[in-house]
Amino acid sequence: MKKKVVVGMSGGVDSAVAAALLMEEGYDVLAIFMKNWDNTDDSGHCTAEEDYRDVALVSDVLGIPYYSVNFEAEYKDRVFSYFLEEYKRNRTPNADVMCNKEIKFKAFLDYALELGADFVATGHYARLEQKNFGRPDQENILLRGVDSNKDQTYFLNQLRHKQLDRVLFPVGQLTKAQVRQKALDLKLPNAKKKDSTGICFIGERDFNQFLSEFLPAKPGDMETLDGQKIGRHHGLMYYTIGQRHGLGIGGVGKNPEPWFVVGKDQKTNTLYVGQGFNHPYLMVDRLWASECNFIRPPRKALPDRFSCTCKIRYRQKDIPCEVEVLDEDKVQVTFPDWARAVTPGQSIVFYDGDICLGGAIIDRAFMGQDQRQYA
Amino acid sequence: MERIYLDYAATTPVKESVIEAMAEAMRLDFGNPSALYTRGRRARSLVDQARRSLASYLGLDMNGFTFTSGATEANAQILLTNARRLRKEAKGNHLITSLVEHPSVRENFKLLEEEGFEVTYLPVNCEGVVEIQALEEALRPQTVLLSVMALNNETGAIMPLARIGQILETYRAEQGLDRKIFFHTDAVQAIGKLSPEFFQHIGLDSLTGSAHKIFGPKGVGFFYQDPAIKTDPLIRGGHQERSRRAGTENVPGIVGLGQAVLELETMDSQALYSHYMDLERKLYEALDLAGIRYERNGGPSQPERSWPGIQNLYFPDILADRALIKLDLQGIEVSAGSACAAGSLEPSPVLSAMYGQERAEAKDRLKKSLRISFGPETTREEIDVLVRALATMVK
Repeated sequence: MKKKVVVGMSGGVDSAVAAALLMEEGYDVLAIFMKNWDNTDDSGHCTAEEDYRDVALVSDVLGIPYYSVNFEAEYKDRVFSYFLEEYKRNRTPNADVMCNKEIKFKAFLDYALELGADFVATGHYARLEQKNFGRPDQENILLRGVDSNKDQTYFLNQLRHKQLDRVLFPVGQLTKAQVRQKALDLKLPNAKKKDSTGICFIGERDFNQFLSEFLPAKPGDMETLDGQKIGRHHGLMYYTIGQRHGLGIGGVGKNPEPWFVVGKDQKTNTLYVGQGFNHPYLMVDRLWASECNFIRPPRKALPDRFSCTCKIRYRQKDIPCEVEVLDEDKVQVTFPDWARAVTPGQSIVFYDGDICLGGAIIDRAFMGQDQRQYA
Repeated sequence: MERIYLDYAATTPVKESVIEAMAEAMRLDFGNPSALYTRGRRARSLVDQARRSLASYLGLDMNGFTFTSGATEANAQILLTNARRLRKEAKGNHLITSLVEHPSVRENFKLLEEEGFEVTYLPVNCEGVVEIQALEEALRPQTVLLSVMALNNETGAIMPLARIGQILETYRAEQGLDRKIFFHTDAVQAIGKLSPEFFQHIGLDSLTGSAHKIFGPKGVGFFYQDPAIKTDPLIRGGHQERSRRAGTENVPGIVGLGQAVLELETMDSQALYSHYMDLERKLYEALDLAGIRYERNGGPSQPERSWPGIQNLYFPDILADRALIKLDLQGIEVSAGSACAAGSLEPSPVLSAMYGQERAEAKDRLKKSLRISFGPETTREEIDVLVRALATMVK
C-alpha cells in the first residue's frame, strides 16, 4: 500500500513542487490549504482566497484531492497572542517560528494524522537524514536546505524530533532555481508566482499600522546613550535592535555616519540611538536564551558546554559560539568574535556543519559584565 | 470507486431525457429566438413551450414567467427592482425577510440597506421555522415588501407561507392600505418537493426557482412575477423576454428546464415522500445501532413543517470539517455549513439563527453538524455505508 502524505499547500511554488516530487516518489498525495487568518480587507480582497485558488489549480494539474482547513482559532490562540505579548514587552518576536511549532507541525500535523496520513510535507528548504546515535534506531536529524540562500531551518528550530519523524521536506534537496524550473517543466500554474513576503496575517499592509490596531503605542524620547535628546519615537515596540531605517533622523551633529537603534528602556520609555553600523553598544559577547530545544542529537548526548556555530537572525552568516546549558531550557551563549544587534524575542539557532541542532529564544545580551538595555 | 452522492440539496444529477432534449435543441434549433424567420420562430417556440410547462406545473399565469441565468439572478431581479419601484410608488422603505435566507436573497437585502432601506430580519424558532409573532410585530405602514423562502436548503424546514399571506392581508385590511405588501418567496428548494398547491392562492406576488435542483441543467432559472405588476428589468439591453430580461435566451438551458418540469409532473410525489421518510427512518436506525450520538437540527419531519429529504444532523462526537474530508476520501459526498471563499468551513448562518453562536453548546453544534440530503436514487445500502464510515470517526 502506498504511503499517504498530506502536503500543506500554500498556493506558492515550493509546496506545489513538494507535492509533485512526492507523487513522483510514489506517495499517495493529498493537499490541504491551511487558512490561518482572515485577512479580508475593506474592499473584500482576501489573499487567502487567491492562494486557495492556486492550490486548486495546482492540485488539478497534479490530479490530487485538495481541501481547505480552518486553523484560525488555533493560530489566534497560539501564535498571534504570543506575537502581541512579545511586542507588549517591546521585544521582536518571530511569528514564523511559532507558526511552525504550533500550527504547521502541531495542529496541522495532528489533523493530517487523524486523516490517516503517514507523513505531512511542506515546501520548506530543509532536509532530514536518518542517523544512528549509538542506539539501535535510526533517527531523523535536521539538515540545512541545499540552497544555502533559501535554507529555512532557522524557522524550524523549535520542532521536536517526534514531529520530524512524521515530516517530509521534498524541496530541501533542490535550489530555488531548480524548484522554479521543475514547476515550469510540470506546467504548474503558479510556476512564476512571486514568493510571499512578510507575515501571513499582515501581508502587504503597513506593519506599524497593523500593530497599532492591536496595541496602544506610547511615543517617547529618542536619545543617545549619553542622554542627548535626538528626537521622538512612535512607541518602543515599533523598533528593533540594529534597525537603521525609519528613525527620521540624520544630519544631526557633524558625524556623517547613519543612525541605528542601539537600545531601548521601557521603564523610561526611551529609545537609544547611536551612529555607525558597528556602534559599540550593538556589540555583545554573551547572551541568555530560553525555551531551548535540541532536536538531534538529543540533549543527553550533548555535553553541558560545546562549541558550534549559530545564527541570531534569518539569512545571516553563521557566527562561532560556545553554548553552555544552564538548565532544562536555558542556555548561555558566548561569542568569541562578538555578535552584532542581538535582539530579544528572536531565535538563536545552533548548527554543527549542516546539522541544525535546535534553537532558543533570546532574552538578554551582555558585553562583559554589562547587560545591554535592549528591551 | 463507486461514489455515494448524498448532497441533492446542493445540486441534482441531470435526467437523461433532459440531456436529450437539450442536445436536440442545440443540434436542430440553434436559431435566435428574436429572429423573425422560421428558424428563429422555432427557437422562440421552444422557449415558450418551456414557459407553458412551468406555468402549467405550478398552476400560475404563463405571462408571469421570465427565464434567467439561475435563481440568484432571479432573486436579485425580484428584490432589487420591486423594492426600488415600491419606494418610489408607495413611499415606503421598510422591508422584511428572515435570518435563514439563501445568500442570493440575504446579500440583496444588505445592498438595499446600503441604499437606505430599513430591513427587519425575522428570527426562526429552534425548528428553523420563521416566528409568526415576530412578523406581526415587524409590520408597519411603511412596509412595502416581504421575502421568505419556502423550504430551507440547510435544514429542510418548511415556512408557513399561507399563514404569512394571511397576516399580510389582515394587516392591509386593518391599516386600510390601498396597496398590497409585495410578497416574494425563494422557492428554489421547494419546487419538486412540495406540491404546487403550496404556492397557490396564498397571495404570493412572485417566486423564483432553478433548474439544477430539479434534475435539470445548471445556469438556468426563472422568476414568476404577477403579470399585473410592472416588471422593471435588472439586466438591460435587448427586448428579449418581453423586455423583462435582456440577453439572448439560453435556449438549450430553457428547454432543459422545461423538460425537467415535465418530468416532475410524471413523478409520483407521494411515493417519493414515502421514500424519503423511509430513508430518514433507516438513517436514524442505523445511527442508533452504531451507537453514534446525533440530533436533528430542526424539528421532526412532518408535512408542511419539515422535509425528510434534507437531514441536518448534529453529531456531538464528530467534527464536521474532518468528517467531510474523510468521507470524501472514502467516496461519500455530503456537506456542512457554508464554505468561505478560501474553501474552509464557516459557521452556518442558518444554524446560528436557530441556536445562536455564543453559548458553548451552540458553538459546538455549529462545528459538528453535517447535511445529508437524499434523492430518488438514494438507497438504504448507501445509508449503511455512510453510517459505517461515520462510526469510525466518533471520538
